[in-house]
Amino acid sequence: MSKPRYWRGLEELEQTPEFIARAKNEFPSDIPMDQVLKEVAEEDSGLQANRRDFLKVLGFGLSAAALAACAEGPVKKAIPYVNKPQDIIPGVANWYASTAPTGTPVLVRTREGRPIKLEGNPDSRIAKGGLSAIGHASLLNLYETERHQSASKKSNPLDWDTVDGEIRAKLDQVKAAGSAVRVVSGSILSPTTRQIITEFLAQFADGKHISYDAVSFSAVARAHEIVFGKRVVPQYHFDKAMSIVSFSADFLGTWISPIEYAADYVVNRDPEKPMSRHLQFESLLTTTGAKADLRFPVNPSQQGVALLNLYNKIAAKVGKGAFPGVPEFNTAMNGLDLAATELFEQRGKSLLICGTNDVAAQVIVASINAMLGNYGATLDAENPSYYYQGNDEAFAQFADELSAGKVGAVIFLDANPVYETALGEKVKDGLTKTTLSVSTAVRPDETSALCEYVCPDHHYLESWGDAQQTAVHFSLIQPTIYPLFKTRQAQDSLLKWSGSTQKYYDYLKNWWATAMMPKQTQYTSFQTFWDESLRKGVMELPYTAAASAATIADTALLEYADRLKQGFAAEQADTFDLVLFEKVGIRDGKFANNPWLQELPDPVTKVSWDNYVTIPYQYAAEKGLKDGSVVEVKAGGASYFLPVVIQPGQAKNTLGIALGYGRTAAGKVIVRGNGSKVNGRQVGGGNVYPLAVVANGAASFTVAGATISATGDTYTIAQIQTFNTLYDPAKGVAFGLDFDRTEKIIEETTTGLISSGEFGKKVKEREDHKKHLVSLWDSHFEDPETSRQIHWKMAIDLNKCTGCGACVVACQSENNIPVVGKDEIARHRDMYWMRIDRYYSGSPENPDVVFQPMMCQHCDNAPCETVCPVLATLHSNEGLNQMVYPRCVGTRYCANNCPYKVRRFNWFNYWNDKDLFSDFYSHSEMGRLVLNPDVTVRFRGVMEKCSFCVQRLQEGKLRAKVNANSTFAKPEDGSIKTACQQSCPTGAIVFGDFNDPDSEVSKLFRKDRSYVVIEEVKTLPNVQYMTLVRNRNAEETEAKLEERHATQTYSKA
Amino acid sequence: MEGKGLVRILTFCILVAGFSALSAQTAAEGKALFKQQCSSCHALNKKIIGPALAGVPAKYAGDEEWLYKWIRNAPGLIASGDAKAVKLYEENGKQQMSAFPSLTDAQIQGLLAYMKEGDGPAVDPKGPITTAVTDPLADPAIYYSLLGLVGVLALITLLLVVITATLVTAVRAKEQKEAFTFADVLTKTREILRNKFVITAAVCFIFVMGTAKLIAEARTIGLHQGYMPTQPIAYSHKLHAGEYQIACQYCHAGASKSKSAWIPSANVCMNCHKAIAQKEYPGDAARTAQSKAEIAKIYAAVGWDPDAFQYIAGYEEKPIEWIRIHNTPDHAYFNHAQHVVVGGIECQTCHGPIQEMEVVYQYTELGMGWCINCHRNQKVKVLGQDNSDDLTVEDMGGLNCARCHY
Repeated sequence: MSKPRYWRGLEELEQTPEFIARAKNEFPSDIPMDQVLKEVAEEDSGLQANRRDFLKVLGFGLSAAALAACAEGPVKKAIPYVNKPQDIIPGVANWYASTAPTGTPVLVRTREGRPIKLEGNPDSRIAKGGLSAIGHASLLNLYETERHQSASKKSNPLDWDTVDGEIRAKLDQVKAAGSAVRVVSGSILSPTTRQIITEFLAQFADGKHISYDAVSFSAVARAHEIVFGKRVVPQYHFDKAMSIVSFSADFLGTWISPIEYAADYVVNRDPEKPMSRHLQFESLLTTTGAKADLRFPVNPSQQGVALLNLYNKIAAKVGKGAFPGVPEFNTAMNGLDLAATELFEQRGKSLLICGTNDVAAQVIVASINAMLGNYGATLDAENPSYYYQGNDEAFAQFADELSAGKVGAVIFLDANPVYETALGEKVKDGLTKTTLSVSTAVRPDETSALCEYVCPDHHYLESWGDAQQTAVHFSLIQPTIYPLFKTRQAQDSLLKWSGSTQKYYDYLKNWWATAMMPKQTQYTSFQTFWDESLRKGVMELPYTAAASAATIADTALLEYADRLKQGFAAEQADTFDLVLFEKVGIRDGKFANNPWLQELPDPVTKVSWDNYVTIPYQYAAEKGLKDGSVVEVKAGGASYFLPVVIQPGQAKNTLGIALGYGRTAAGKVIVRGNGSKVNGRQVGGGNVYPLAVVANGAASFTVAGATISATGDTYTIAQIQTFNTLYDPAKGVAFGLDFDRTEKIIEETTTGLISSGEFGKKVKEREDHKKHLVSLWDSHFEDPETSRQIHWKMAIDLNKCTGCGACVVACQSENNIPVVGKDEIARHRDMYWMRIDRYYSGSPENPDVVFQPMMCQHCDNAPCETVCPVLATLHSNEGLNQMVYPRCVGTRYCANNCPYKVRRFNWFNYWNDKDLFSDFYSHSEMGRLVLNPDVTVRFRGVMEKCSFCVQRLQEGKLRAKVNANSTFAKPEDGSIKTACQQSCPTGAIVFGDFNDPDSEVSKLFRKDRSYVVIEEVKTLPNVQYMTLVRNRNAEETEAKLEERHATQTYSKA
Repeated sequence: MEGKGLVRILTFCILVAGFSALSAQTAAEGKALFKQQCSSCHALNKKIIGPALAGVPAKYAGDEEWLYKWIRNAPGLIASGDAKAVKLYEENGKQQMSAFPSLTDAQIQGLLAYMKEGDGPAVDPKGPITTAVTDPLADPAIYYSLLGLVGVLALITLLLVVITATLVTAVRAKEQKEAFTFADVLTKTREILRNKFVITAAVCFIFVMGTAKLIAEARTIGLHQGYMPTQPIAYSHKLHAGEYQIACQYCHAGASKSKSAWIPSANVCMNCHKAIAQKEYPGDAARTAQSKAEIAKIYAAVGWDPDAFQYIAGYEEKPIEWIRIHNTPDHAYFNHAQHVVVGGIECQTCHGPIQEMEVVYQYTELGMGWCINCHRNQKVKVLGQDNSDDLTVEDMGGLNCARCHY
C-alpha cells in the first residue's frame, strides 16, 4: 500500500498502529457505560450494577420523562419595555459601528440592547469586513463575571466619589513634592486619549507617558528613526507587492496588522492574474510560512547573516558596495539568491519584511527596501501605521525609576507590565515605593492586583472612543450596551483627576469638531458629520504622497552589520535558539481569560488549551521524543516544564514557546489553560515574558543558549488534527481501487504545472472520471435556469485561506457553539461546526502545508440522511442538509456515515452542566447573554453540525421578499453571508445561489480549479474547493516533488 | 351451527359499523356556514357571546318568517322596536347580533337544519375554526360518538338476543321440544365468549381503537389550546379591538416588522390613556371604578400623574409583567412578519376572534400538525401579483424542516 501523499500529522506519516485503528472510528473512545453505571451504583448503594439495574434506571427514566411531558408547562412572562427606545425593534438586530481592541473597526450586532456578534466593518480599508479570532472573542469578555465590578482600594470596593477624593489628594501631595508622575499604557490608538493623557500630565512638573507593547515591534520604529529620521512603523501595502520576502514575520497571523495584510496579500494571489511571489525564511513554521511559495527554514542565529548576504547580493545588482567580511550563507535551493533576484526584478513592487525585534536587522531591512525603491510604493513611512508605538527603552528606564523609588504616582491604563514584560519583577518591587498606584484594568490582572486603587474602565462595548490605525485611517467607538457594572471610562477618570468637569463624550465630540471636521468637505454641519461618522464608524483621509529618502550613510550601516554578524554560528551542538512566539488565538495573553480563544486550535500545531514547546522533527526523531513528552527547557536562567509538540518544518536547533500563558491572577479560564500536574510537577503554562529582555534598544524575543532535557513523563495534549480523519486506508483496500484517498481531499498545483498544461490534463481526467460515477438517486433539484427555488452552494478558495481561525470563532459566536474544555477535546469531542484541517506533504524537515476549512458539505446525496432512523436529518429543496434537533434521538449513525467527519454530538448539556463546564462563562445569567437568540441551544444527546447559517438565510430571504414586495424575490447575490464567509479577511469563502448563473458562487463552480472533496463517493456536496496554486516554476515543482518522493521512502512502513 | 352463524354476523355488523363511523364525514353546508359566520359568537349547546342555538329551530317552529328577518337584520329589528326582538336583546345581556343581509333562504334553511341536527356531543365552546381540512383522528369527538354507537349496537344486540331467545323458546314449545333452561343460555353464552373468532375480533378491535386513542391523546401533549391566564391588567381586546376598532398593528406593530408581534410598551398605551383615565359605564359605578383602577396600573408603570396631567419626575418605571399566552417551543422559529407581510394572513386566522375576547386565550392549538396543515392547504397570496398562482406554502418549500427548526 502506498503512503499517503498528504499527512495530517506525524502519526499519519509514520502510519502508527494507533493511527490506523483510530482512523476507522468516528468515536474513538468507547462509551464507558459499565463504568458510569458502576460508579453510580456504588455511590448509591455500594453495590455493583448489572443489566437489571441498567434496565431499572432506563425504565424509571422513560416513565419519568412520560410523566414530565404530561405536566403543565411553566408560566412564562412577556415583559415589554415601559418606554420602548425608538431605534430598537424587538426581534430585529441593530448594528452599531465600533472598534475592537485590536484596532480593527467592527460592526456590533445587538439584539434588544445586548451585543451578540461582532463583524469587521466592510467600509474600513483596515478590516474590509474581516475580523480576527481575537476580535470576535473580545465580545465574550463583556459578559465575563470575573471583571472588576466597581472601584476599589486594596480590593475593598469603594464608591467613585471617595476614590476620586483620595486619588486627587494623593496627586496633590505628589505634585507638591515635585516627584515623578507616570502614565503607563500599551500602544494607544486613540488620539483623544493621547491628548487627555498629555493634558493630565501637564499639571505635574515631571509627568511622562510611558507606552510599551507586550509583544514589541519597537525595533521597526527605531530602525526607521535611524534610517529616515522618523520614529514610525510604516504602512505596508501587500496588495502592491509582486515579490514578498519575509524573514520570520508572520504577517498573516500575528505581525502588526494581520487582518489588513491578509486581505491585501490575497489581491495578488489569484492564479488567473499575475501572481505575486512569496518567499519565507523562518525558524518556526507559521501560517505565513505555510502560505509561502517557497519556505526556507533558517535558524534565528543565522538570520542576521542571511540578511547581510541578501543585502550584499542586492547591492551587487543595484551597484552599491557590499558589507565586508560577511560569512557566506545560503539556504537549500539557493533561497537567498532567489530572493535577491526576485526582489530586484520587482523593485518598486517588492517588499522585504522582518519579524525579529532587533534594531540592527530592521535597519538592514529598511535599507534594502530603500535600495529597491520600495518606500512610497509597498511601504509608506509618510503615512505611518499607529500600531505598536511602544518604546522598549523608555519602558526599561521607567522600570528602573520605579524600583529606585523615584516615581511618586503611577497610573496603569489597562496595562499589565508585571506580567507581560521582562521587567515585571522590577515593577512589582517598585510599586511598593510609590505614593499612589492606580490601575484602570477592565479585569483583574497581575498589575491591578498590586495597585492600591483599581478604577476599572468600561469594556470597550460600553465605551465611547476613537482610534487612529494609521496616519489616514480613523474610526470611532460607541457604546452598544449600558455599563453592566459600576465601572467608569478611564478617560473620564483622567479628566476628573485633571480637575476637568467635562465628560469624555463631550471631549471626544469637541475634538472631532475641531480636529476632524475641517479635514473633510462633504458635510457642512458638524452634527451631520458626527452622526454620519458614527453610523459609518470609519473615516479615511487622503494619503500624503512623498517618498522617504534615507538619511543614513552607507558607512553608518556597518555598525549594524557588525552587530548582526556577532551572533552567527554555522553549526550548533546542543544548545538551541528559543523563539518566543505569539499564537493566533492567545496572542500576547491580554485576552487569555477567554474560553473561545483558549479552545481555538493553533492553526499550525492544532493544539487547543495548552502551552507547549515546539521542537524540530529531526531532534525528536534522534531523541525519541513524542508529542506530549514532557521536557525541561532552560533558558535565560529560567526553567519550564512543557509538553513537546513535534513541528515539521521547524529549523534545526530551534525551540518555540508561546507567549501569553502562565498568568497567575487572572481568572478561571486561564487556570484551565495553564496545564496540570504530572508526577507532582506543574507541566504546561509558563510565562516566558521574563526572557524577552531588552537588548540593543529593543526587547528580544529570541533567546540563545537554551537547553532541553527529557523528563520521561508524558502529558496529554489536546490536538484537534489527529482525529476527524477523512482517510481510511482499509476502505481503499476494500474498494479494490488503487487510489490515494487523501489526494482526493486536497488538490494542489503550481503555476509551473498550469503553464505546462499538466494541470489541464488532470482536470480533464477528473471530468472523464466523473462521467463513470453512478448515482442511486435522481437529482433533487429542478432545472437551475427555470427554478424559482434557490440552490445554496459554497466555494472555498484554498489559495486564499490562511488558516487563521477567524471563521471558526465567528461560527462559534453566531451559532451558540459551546466550549467543551481540554479534557473533552482530548477525547475527540470538540463541538466546532467548522474546523480548519491542516495537511502536510513532502519532507517533514520542510513540508508544504495546506489549510482546508471543513464543515458540513451539505451533500445532495447525503450519506447521513439515508441512515437516520428517525428522519432527523433531511434535505431541503434549497440544497441544505437540515438537522432537526427535536427529532434527533442520538443514534450517531449519521456521524458514522459522514465521510467528511463534520457532525458533532452533544455528549453533555454543555450550557447547563454545572459540574464539568462551569468555568466557561456559560453558566451564569451574564455569560448566556452572548447567545444568539435566533439559534437553538442544543441539549445533551443530539447531533449538530453546520447549517449554512440558515438563520441568516431565512432572515435574508424574508428581507428580500418584503423589500421587493414579491413572494418570489430572491435575495441579491452577496446580500446574505454566512458567519464564516463574513469574517474571512481574505474572502476565501464565497456563498450564494447556484441557480443564479451570474452569482459569484456559480461562476466559481464552473472554473477548472473547482473540485469536490472525495468525489468518488458521489455525495454531490454543495461545497466545492478551489485548487491550491503555488507560484512555483517547473523546476521548483520538480525539486519539491523529489523531496516528497524522498519522504515516501524515508518513513519505513 | 346456527348459533355460530349468528355470532359471526353480529360481530361482523359491530365491526363494520365501528369502522364506518370512523370514516363517516358528512360536511353539511349549514355546518360549514355556521362555522364561518356564526361560530365566533354562537355555539349549539353553550352560550358564548350569543345564546346557544341548538333549540332555535324548535323554539321558532311556525314563526320562521320572523326568525329569517332576525337573522338577516337583528339590529334593524331591534331598532324598529319589534317587541320580540327587543325582548331577545334584553334577555341576552344587550349583546347586539350582527346583521347578515346576504344570507339566502336556502342558506338559512341549511343553518337551521344544522342547528336541529347538531354535530354530536361535546362541542368545545372554545373549539377552533379548524383549518380547511382536519385530521379526522385528531378530533376527540369522533371517539365519543364511536363509543355511543357501540353502546347502541350493544343494546340492539341484547334486544335481538332476547327476541331470538323468546322465538326459539316459542318454536321449541310448539315443536314440543325441551325448553331452553337458563343453564343452556349460560352454556351458549360461555361458548360464544370462548369462541376464538370472537376473542380475536375483540382483541383486534380494542387494540386498534386503543392505539388510535393513545396516538390522538399523545399528540396533544404540550399543547395549551384554551390557555387563559389572568393578566396583571384586565385589558379587554373586545373593548379595544372590537368596540373601538383599533387596528391590531397599532399596538402590535412588530407583526409586520419582526419575528415577534410585540406586546406594546406602556408608552403606546399612554398615547390614548393620557386622556382616558377611566371608562364610563353609565349606571354601573362598580365597573367604572374598576376600569379606573385598571388604567391606573399603566400610570403606575410609567409614572404618570393623572391629576396633575404630567409625568412624575425621576419616577422609577416598573415594567408590566404580562403572562405569555402563545408559546412556541424554543426549537421552533416563528416569524410574524413572514406570515403577516409576505403571507398576508389575518391575525384572526391563528389568534381567533380576538376582537371578541374579553380575556385573551390561546385559540388555536399552535402545534406542529396545525402549522403543517395550513402550510399544506393554504393557498398563498402571491405578493405583488393579482392572480394567485394556486400555490400552497408546501409548493414553495414550506415543509422544509429548516424553515422553522434551526
